[in-house]
Amino acid sequence: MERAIEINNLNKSYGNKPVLKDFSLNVPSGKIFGLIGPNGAGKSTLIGILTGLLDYDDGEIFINGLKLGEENELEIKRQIASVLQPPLLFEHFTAHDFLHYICDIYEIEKNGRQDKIASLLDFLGLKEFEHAKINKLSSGSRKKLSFCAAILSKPQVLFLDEPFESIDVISIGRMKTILNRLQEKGVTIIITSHILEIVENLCDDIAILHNREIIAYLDAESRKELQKDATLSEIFESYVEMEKPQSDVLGWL
Amino acid sequence: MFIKLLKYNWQVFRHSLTAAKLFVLIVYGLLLILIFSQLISTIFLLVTLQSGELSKLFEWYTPERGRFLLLAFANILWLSQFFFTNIRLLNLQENRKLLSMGYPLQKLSRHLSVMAFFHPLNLLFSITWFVFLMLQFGSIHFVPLALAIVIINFSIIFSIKFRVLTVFKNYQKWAFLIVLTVIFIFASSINDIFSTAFFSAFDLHLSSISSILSFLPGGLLTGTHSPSIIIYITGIICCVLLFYYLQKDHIKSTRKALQAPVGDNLITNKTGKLKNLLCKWFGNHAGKYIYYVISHPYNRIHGLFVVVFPLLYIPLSIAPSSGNEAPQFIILFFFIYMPLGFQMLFLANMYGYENRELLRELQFPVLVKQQLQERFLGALLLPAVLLVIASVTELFLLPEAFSVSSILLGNLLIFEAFIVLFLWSTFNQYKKVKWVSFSFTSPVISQSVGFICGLLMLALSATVYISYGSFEIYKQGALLILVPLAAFWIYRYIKNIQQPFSSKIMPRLWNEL
Repeated sequence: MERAIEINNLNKSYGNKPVLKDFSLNVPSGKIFGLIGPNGAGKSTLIGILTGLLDYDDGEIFINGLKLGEENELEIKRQIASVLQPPLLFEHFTAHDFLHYICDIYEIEKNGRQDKIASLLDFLGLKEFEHAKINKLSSGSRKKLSFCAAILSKPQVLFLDEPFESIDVISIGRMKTILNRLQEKGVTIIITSHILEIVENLCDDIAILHNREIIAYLDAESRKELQKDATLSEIFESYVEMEKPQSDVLGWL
Repeated sequence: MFIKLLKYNWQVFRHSLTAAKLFVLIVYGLLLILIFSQLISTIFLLVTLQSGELSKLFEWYTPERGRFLLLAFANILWLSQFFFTNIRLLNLQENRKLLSMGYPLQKLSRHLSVMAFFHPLNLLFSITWFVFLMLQFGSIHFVPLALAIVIINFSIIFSIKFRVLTVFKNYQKWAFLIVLTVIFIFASSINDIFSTAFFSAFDLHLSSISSILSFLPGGLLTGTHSPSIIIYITGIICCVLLFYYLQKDHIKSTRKALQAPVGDNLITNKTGKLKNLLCKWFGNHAGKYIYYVISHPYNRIHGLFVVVFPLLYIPLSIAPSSGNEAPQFIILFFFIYMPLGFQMLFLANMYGYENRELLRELQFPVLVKQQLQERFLGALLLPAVLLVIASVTELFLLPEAFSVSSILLGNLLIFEAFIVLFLWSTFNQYKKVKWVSFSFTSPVISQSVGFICGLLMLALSATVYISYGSFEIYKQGALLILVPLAAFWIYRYIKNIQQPFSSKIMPRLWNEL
């Protein structure tokens, strides 16, 4: 199976504090891949590195077979898109201007562009905010707008860092519809989320990141086996929380 | 609780200090002491002239002229206080966090109002007024009245500044037009102003001018000479009442601002035509950056000052009939001031306007290096055009006073020196630009940095433009070496701009996520 992402012995530290140590991971092409882990496990750092926003100490990263680095910078950027947490938007633009700006950058043809933008905004319940200034939007709307921008750039690999946080149930359903359609077209999607029910339903493969390393990789088969008796949350807890908290902890409460 | 607030603000301030900021603060502090001593000595002179034997030493001195000078000084002092009164100590963005930690809203508003009074710059003006008033009153019994007047004066200015933006925002186009018209009239009539006929006519009208000045804020403040007991008591009562109502208003405004930060409501961007035009002219990356710079309310005021200052002083300094010609380097300083002012506006905090947004831009399928270079060159274009215009104008207006080479080389060197300074500062002193619209609460370029850059411009002008007589040839030689050297340094820096960006700016942007 082709690999959309290949990470070999990646090391990253902030000052003296290692965040990722000899980290390796392979993500197959065309899958929706879930990366879960407790707070501070290094998920966002990993997404930052993969999207080229964060430097790393050493190791090798390949995206769709292209080695991450200066020589392939442009080609990789053309193939990826992301929704980061918090979403990165142009605060002083209107939603309409922002999406058109994105289309200009990614050279999306002008013919039919407005229709695409309007239908996407409408589908995700953002139509009424099309001409609102982005800094006035609620956190959920901002997240959805960032999602729209990522979709419009027609990526082959899509990174989503906490994409469903502060979003209503109906919009989550619609985002899932879009993601499934993208997967049908061969797009690889990497999702980090703390909402494990969504990850459970949406993702093909899931990896659990804890203490700077992948402690479990659950592909379709192993999940089938494990999830016979337990939900993803229970599996996650069993891996991450090896020691149960003692009953006298926080007794003062 | 007030002590806790002070401690919290001190910690915030302390953690924001870097070595460069500390240096700027020390120089700024020294400058403030210098200004303070100048103000106090001027006051002593003006007051002593009014009553003492000293006036006999000056032939030109008449009581009428003395009164005029005193009133003019008082009004200028009041205007300066108005412009420089600093309400940044309120630090609303930071202090609102205290509300979520159990600090009562009413108490916080009250404490912040008190804290603002004690900013060093505010204290400097208040002490100056106190000395001014006490010298006029001439008796220690009037200390309470003088203190009351000083506090009320500060309160009035504080109130106006809290509200002036709304007024300015609604009428900014008209205000801009009026300022431009005044400048135009002033500049076109500069010769008439300095003609002898004007001065003699001016002298005749001194008393009427003085009576107008006495009704302006500075004049009103100084108009209370040794009041009688009835006026004294009435004055105190009026002051107490006025103070009460002003404080009520302050606390109400602070409370409102704490609950709804101004930045959320008053951002005045209109994306669309202007943004599209800038993106078309300068490219998407530089266009967006320039749009952000010129959209920031503080920069508009800064830009206005940068234009007004030389437009006022260049005609003054080269007016042939003024009989008081400025030194050559001052004239050239005024010419270079506009390009440097705009350079400061565009290049300082180059990555602070969009900070987090930059992370989005860096994901675009355009080389990071290309984006950064486009931004830098786009931002430099307007100052560079202004430099060319200033140089050409100098050559036409001042053909005899200076040699072509000294003007061109001097201009180029100072311009390059400031590029080097701002490049260094952009990467090493990265500062996130806040989008609060009331400029004085969060200036893009702080008063201290502005002052020091002004001093630096003056010092460089004095070094570069001054004629060294028989050593002039060596100066020109040094300029001939330094100009290409600085140009080469800038070229190398821009060529490798991605490196300082990745090592210094990127981690900060990511950490601010």
